[in-house]
Amino acid sequence: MSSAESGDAQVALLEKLMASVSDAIQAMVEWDVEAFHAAVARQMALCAELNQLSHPPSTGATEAAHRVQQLNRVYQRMVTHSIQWTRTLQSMLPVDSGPESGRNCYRG
Amino acid sequence: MGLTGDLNVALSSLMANTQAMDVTSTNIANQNTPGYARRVVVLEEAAPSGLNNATSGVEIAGVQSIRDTVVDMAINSNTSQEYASNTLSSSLSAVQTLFSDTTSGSVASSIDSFFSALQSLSASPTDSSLRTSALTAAQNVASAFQTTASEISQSQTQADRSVVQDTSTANSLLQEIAATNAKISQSTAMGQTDNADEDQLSSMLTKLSQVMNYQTVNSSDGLTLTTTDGVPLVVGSKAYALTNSLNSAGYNQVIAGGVDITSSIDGGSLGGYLSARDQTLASMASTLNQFADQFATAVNNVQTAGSDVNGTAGTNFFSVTTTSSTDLTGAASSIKVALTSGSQIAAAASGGASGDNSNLTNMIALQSSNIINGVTPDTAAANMTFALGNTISQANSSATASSNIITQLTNQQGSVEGVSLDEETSNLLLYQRSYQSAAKVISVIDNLMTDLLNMGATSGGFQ
Repeated sequence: MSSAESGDAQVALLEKLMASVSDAIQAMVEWDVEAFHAAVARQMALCAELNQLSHPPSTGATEAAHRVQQLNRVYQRMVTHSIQWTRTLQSMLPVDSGPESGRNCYRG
Repeated sequence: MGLTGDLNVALSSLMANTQAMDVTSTNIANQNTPGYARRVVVLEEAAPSGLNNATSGVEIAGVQSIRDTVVDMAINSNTSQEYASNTLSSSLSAVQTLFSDTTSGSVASSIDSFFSALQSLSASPTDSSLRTSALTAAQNVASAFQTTASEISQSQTQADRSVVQDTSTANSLLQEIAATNAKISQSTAMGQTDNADEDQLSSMLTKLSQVMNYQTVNSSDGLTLTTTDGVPLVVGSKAYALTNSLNSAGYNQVIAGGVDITSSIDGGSLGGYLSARDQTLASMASTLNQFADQFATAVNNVQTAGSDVNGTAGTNFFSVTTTSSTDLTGAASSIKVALTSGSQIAAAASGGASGDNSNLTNMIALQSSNIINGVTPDTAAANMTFALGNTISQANSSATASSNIITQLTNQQGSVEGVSLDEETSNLLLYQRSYQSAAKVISVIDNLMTDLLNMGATSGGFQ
């Protein structure tokens, strides 16, 4: 593969990675766990592919990498925030899983 | 989409995600809050932004309470029924024992004792001690009527006090409902959904249904509450103050905006007290007055047809004071033994010898004569006991039926409006796992991008 071809491939992979991060963010907001899982799986596959391209990035790939990096930081903050929230919510749930009373609380 | 667009989507999504989490948190925290209805996030596609009008992801359009207003209204309606029935039953239970055939001092038992005393006297009409016993038995009959009338009157007075108290409670709730209505209307006018006030309104409507029945109509001003006859109680932010006004019987009526709404209140504790005071107890008082008047008249008619132990023409055995000859109000409470001595009992026929008991036999015959509204005194007393017991029994059955319906409706309401802990727990576990795996990938991406950029920098230029 030539340098130019390799650079194009890097850019294409990075654009796909960016799109999959966007998809993951959207899936989080829509509370669509399946879509979120799928986006994360795509990210892992794309990272594996990118790892195999060991030569220095082209200008286009560098710009794309910057964009991915910045978006990834927002994504990271969102996930970190969500992890904290789920832990907080988890702690609010009653430890005892016995039947609750009252119309505002039911199981099933 | 460029990086700016992506970052905008990410940031707005972060805010939406936070709000969605807030909703889950609120649902869990309020799982046992009365009136709280489960909330859901309403998502909508964000307006396109950027030069190429690329999609901007989703935004929170609002947070909506999940309510089934039909079920809510049915629960409130049945709550009104249940409270009315329970209140009626408890208000009547106090006087029920007075009507028992076996209760000492009841009208039925005292009349039986009276006729027994006359029967004993019949065997020895000149016996002064038996005459005194018969007179005492007659006084016990009068006393039983008076006591029963007094207990009924006291129960009515107690119910009347409760009417005043409930009117005040209803007033406070109507004012709170109007104030909450105003807040909701203001929020709606600004295009917002006021879920907290909606929950509060729901809770207050349930409380009001415990006090009185009403009907609701949604209008542009918010919720309108009226009586079943359409008399306004709350219109938008205005509450029509309930007041009390005495009727001709001296009992408090309920007035809303100058209109007497007493007759339209048949639900809630207020409806129960009004029903006890104006219907069951009033009817019992009226029946008891007829009973006392007709019993006294029947005994007096026989008594005045005979002669006493001294051969003097018999005078009235009982005296009864009524409002008029047609309005018998006061008969039971005023009945007294008019005779002052046992010797005045007219045992003999008119002009008969002192040992004659023929007139006494006629008086004893009254026990099995249809002298009280076409039935015997025993049957009349039993009818009153049965009518009262039947009313209490029906009230209890109605309360039980309403309670069962409320249980079913509450279950139905819970499945729609309630917070499902299973669902929330399941969601949280899924999210937790997903987020944890995402966090690892994020780290990989970050390292990868750093390596990539470092590689470009150390290679002396980009290719």
